[in-house]
Amino acid sequence: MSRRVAQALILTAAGLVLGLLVSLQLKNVIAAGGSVSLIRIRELNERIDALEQDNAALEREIVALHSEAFERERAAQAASEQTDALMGALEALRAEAGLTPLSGPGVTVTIRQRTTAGGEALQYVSDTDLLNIVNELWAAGAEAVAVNNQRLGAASEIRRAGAYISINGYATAAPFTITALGDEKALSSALNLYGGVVDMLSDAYDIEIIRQSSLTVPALEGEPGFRYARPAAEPPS
Amino acid sequence: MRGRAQGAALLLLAAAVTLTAAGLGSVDLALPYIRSGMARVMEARDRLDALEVERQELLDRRQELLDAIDRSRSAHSVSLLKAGEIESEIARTAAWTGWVACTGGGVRVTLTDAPDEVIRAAGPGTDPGRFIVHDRDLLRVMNALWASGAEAVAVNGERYRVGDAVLCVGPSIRVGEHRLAPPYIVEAIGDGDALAESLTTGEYSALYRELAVFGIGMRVEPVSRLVLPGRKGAQ
Repeated sequence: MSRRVAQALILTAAGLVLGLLVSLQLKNVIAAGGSVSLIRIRELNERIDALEQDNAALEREIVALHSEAFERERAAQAASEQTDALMGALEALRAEAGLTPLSGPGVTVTIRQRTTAGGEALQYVSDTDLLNIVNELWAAGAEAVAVNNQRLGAASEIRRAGAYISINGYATAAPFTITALGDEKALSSALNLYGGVVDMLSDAYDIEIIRQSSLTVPALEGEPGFRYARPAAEPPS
Repeated sequence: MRGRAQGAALLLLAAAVTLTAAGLGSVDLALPYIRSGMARVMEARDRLDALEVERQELLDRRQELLDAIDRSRSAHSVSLLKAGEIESEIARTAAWTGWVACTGGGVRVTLTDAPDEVIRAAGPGTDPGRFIVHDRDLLRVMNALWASGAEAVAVNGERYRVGDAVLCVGPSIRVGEHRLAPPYIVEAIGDGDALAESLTTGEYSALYRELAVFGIGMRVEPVSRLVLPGRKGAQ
């Protein structure tokens, strides 16, 4: 074999090897970038589909939750408004029952006993005297009354106890100051009526009626509390 | 011979180069495809990331809504609980202020004007007004009942409330808004025996005796079960 033939054969072999290598490489590249990415894309697309479905379900759930949240908030709001209204009603009732202090215009009526030179009372103010003055004040439209700072409630008594008068169980003595809230003009004119309660009692005591633009009556100290009475169905009328 | 061998070698070389070139050409042709495959992967990845972000946002939003619902729900039940408490306090307070009917044992006090024969027997010189029940008598009876532990009082079936004035109006007595005619039946819930005792032989028996002087009747009887109506009208 000549040298030239050997050379040609070597060159041929080199060319073949080179061609093979290049095509192999190409195949690899295509496999890596082509078919592998195809699988990858399919896999990714599956996950995308799943997520899209998940998200769509979430969105539907959110729409439902949205309206539920709205309804619940409205219901809570309504309940809270109802509670506020009930609270208002309770406050009004408590004021009426004498369980809250009240302020406003009104009159004070001070009843002083006359005394002998020795300081002895000529006549003690009686429970009936106080009852009658208080009754007159109610008749003239008083909204709240206290006697010597004891608020008169639904079952408050004015009780004679020797030289004392006990109101709501608290003993108090002359001078008596009755505080009444209401239209001060109406209250004072009712009391000052000629031949009225105060006129008659003025023979025995010194009574002073003063109109006041701002007065406060305290609350009852304890709640009335029922031991014998229980709420009942309305009796047939 | 030499020329043929050389020719064959050259032919083989050309084939090898062509193959190479073809291979290279394929690579060149496949490149956009490879790039687009990569781009699609990237795109899918981006989409996936975006969907993940969206999902997280949706989950957060859902949680917010669930929290809001929880808050509303507990606010609602707190309101209902409070409303329940307020309602029972209203019921109690309304009982004290006379808006609610009440039942219980107690006492019934019946005040009657003096009978005609007593008035006639007294002769013409006596003030006839002394023989009838007055506002002050009724007031003293009610006060005596409260002082003796009465909890709720009604006169002639009308519940008394604090602030009701008791006033004579001609032959009748007005209690609050109600004009009542004799006999006056005062019903009071409390310890019936104690109330009756206080008015007949106890602390307030003087009232009983004073009224009897003018023939005014005062009958006092313990009652095991009274029903006092609630006040009428808007609360």
